Amino acid sequence: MFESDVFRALGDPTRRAVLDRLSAGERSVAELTAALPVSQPAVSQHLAALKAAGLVGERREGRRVFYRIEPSGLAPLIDWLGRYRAFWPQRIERLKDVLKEMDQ
Amino acid sequence: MSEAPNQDELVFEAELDAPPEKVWRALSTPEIREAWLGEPEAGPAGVARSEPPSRLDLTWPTHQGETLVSFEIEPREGGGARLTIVHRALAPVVVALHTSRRAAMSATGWRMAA
Repeated sequence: MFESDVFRALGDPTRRAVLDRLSAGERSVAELTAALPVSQPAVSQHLAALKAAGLVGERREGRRVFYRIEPSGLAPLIDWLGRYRAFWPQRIERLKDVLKEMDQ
Repeated sequence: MSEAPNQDELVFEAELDAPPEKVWRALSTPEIREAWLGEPEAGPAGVARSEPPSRLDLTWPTHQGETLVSFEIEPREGGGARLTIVHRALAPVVVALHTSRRAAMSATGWRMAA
């Protein structure tokens, strides 16, 4: 998958609501549908997108499928935050130098 | 300079010894901006919003996806300027990050700055 799929997958409010429900523990599609104001096919579609982005995993038990959050799927996002937390203070120091060199 | 304790986005604040108009020039003039900021890692920056001399938003493509950087320039007493930089992923990641934080932390050992 492309890492940018993570940002895209998280951009949809229903998908974030699905993740919100799953943060409490694993759920079946039926359980998720009961808790959300969307149809079961819509929930399945969002789950597929979340799975493709690596944010959600599944476990089969007979004919039933349970979904859960896949914490490692958030790694690209955490990587982004970590890199730019170091990036901006460095750039601000460089900006201060450039401001000194600029004419008034 | 300080970083706000926010889990949703990166926020930085800097006190600068230059008037807002000069800071604006350093941000908005492409050649000057490149001298201190450089180019994004995954494509050119784009101007999403420009309100001289106080607000500039740049789209900032990263390897993880599209992000937005907002620069806000305010006058400071004594003639200097306060620069606030807010960097966020264009997809609102707030809820997912918040709800999955515990799981993510146990998986990666990641901690938010307090």
